[in-house]
Amino acid sequence: MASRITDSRLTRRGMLGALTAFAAGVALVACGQQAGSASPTSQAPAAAQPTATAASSTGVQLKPTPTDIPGITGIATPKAGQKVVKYWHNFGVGVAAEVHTKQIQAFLDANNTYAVDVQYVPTTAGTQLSDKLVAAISGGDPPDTARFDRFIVTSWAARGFLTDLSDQAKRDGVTQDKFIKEGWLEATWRGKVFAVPFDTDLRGLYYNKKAMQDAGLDPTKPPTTIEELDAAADKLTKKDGAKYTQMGFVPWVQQGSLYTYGWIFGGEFYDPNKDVITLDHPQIVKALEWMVSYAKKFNVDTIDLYAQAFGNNEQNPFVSGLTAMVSDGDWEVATFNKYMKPEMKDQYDIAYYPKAPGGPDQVTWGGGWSTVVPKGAKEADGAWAFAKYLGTDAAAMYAVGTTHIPVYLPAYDDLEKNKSTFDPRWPKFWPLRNVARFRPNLPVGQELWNAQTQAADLARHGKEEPAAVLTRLSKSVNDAYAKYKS
Amino acid sequence: MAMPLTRRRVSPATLHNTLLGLLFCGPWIIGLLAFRAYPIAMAFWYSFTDYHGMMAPNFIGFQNYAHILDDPDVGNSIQNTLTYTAMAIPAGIITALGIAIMLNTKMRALPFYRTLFFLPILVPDVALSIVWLQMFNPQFGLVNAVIEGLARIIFGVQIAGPGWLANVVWAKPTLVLLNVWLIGQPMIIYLAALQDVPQDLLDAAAVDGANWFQRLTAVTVPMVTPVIFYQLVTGLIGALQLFTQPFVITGGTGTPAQSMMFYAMQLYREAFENFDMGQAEAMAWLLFLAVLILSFLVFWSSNRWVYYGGEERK
Repeated sequence: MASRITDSRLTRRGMLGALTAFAAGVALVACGQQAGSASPTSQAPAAAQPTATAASSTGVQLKPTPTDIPGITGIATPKAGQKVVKYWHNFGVGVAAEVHTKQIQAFLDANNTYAVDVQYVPTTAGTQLSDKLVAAISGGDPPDTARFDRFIVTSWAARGFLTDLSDQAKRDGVTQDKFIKEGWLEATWRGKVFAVPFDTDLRGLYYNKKAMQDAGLDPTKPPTTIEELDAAADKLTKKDGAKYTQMGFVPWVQQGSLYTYGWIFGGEFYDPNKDVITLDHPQIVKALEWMVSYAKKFNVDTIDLYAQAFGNNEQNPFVSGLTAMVSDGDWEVATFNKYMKPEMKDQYDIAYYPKAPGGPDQVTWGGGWSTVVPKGAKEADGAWAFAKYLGTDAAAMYAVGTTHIPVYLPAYDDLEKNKSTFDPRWPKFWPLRNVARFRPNLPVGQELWNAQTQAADLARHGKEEPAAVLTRLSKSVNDAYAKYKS
Repeated sequence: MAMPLTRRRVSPATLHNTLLGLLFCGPWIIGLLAFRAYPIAMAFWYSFTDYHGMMAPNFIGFQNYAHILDDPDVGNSIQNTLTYTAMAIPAGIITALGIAIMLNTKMRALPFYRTLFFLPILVPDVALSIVWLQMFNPQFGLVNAVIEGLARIIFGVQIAGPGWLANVVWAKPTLVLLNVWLIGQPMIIYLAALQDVPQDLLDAAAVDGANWFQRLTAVTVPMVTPVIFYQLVTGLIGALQLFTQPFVITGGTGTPAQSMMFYAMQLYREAFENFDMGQAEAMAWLLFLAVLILSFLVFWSSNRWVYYGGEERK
């Protein structure tokens, strides 16, 4: 009897054998892969693998864990009699954090009244907001001031999360005429000031001159119209079997949102006369149809396979040579120079966005950050002084030190003075501040952002037609907006 | 004496002990009331209001509930969540039970294998999600490299592995796979249950001529149904609340094509991105009701398939 039981049991030997065979198979294949990978496609990303940065195709950026240099350190402890301003920032490691440290230090040097207690509170993955800040404000124990993405200032202000700074702003002459207009408006709601703008960022078309040359295109003539961009994208796209080894252009990666192309195609996201959101504007529909045309032409599933590897820094598809052209922001000049292979650094240049049928000659979109004073801040005066200092007196310091474009107009004097010290490609972005569009300052800014992301996601995967999805989501955002109109 | 004689008198010692006991439990009771009961009650109240976190809530009756039912985004997230649950629960139970059965053989180094299969659950969800994102990268990840390599070496064919998390069809199965990998805890519980299966029943079945498979289906599995039942209920609750992994993997966006937008993510979006706390609370209560009803159905069905030793089978 005993023998019969053991007979039909899975034996230890068999089990071990199976496990071993599997492990061996995996090891074998892994070795084979390394030895046999002669194609440049599997080489380039391999170099980009060992980083702490991870990203999905649509943009969650998980910043490297602080290792040798923490974000902001070495801020002096408060002296006797000083009032303490509690400040939340979201700078991880890097150049920006170092320059921001200097900004804070300069504030401390310039005044004797206030000390700053700095705390690193990262934003929630994939969003630009901090649910910790929501909880802190609701719980009645917020920091005195916080770094804050400007396009949602209105949303938070309309819901009562932020302190109205209009009186202080008027008293101290922090007024619209000193800032890029639409950038300033983002910091307001119904004529009241709720934040001090910190910086801005502008976007354009990066193109790889060598790739253009290799594809028989003139590297001195980047595309100037959407038709030329499409033609160049076709020529620059290379395939090896079923997979892409280089793509000319993927509209929706990096900074290629529907906002970008909506404005390029001459669309408007908000109609101030009728006070309605117009995500279904005919030209935005055209822009989305154009984005979808890439999904159809190059097969969205195959692009997705490829684009899953896209991220930031060394995983930026332009840095790793995965795309020959990319829609991206001005700050990348600094990033690219840091992460690109030396021989690639001189091989790229920047062009303004090509002109689309029905669109303006030149346009881009701008964003940027701000400093807010949450509702219930205990040291509100100190918070205002600090926020104002960062946005005005210390604005040039940040711009020059980090190559971020200022939203504070007097800071451009410092930029012009230092122009020769910058990578010449970066100043090309500066004039765009005159044509840049900023997201409409509405209390449903986040909803509208999510809606345009969602519309692009659904349309390019063929789940819904561009016009239909935009009509549906435009209505949904307008419904949400209706609550705030009264 | 004022106290009627019929009433049982509490001795001073008992009273003292009770009070002392309450004193010791006090912090826990206060914690439970303040941090569980109060928020749950307030959430119920807010679900009937228009509330944005700071301004006073505004009573609007059932409007939040009505809005949820005709919001296509919520509908999509419900569909995604149910699809995921329908895949993840059977996959989890079968894999965990299967591995437990394999480990239940009298093999050498059993503790080693137990540890091996248990280890994954020690990895924090966020770190795990990022590692999977890298491993399941369709073009440059390890998994497709192995699949494509095996196809090339063994079968001599050049194939392209699936798009995994980047593909509308594959995204949810990949997430199921990730959670199947995390079966350490149920596996240990199954293993304990398997070791309680009476040997004499197995021996008797063997004498009657039952082969390995027949003994498994007729003796072993029925004897562990109470554990399967337990895993089904807890698994159901967990799957319906799925949040961290897809949130990290998609950055909260639910791509591709909103196929990874789960109910809890939609709820988070309503609460912390759109600040529609009332709507979010209503969604939370509906989730609670759904979990309650589904758990009730499982309990109700358990009479028919869960076997506790010593009972007659119904």
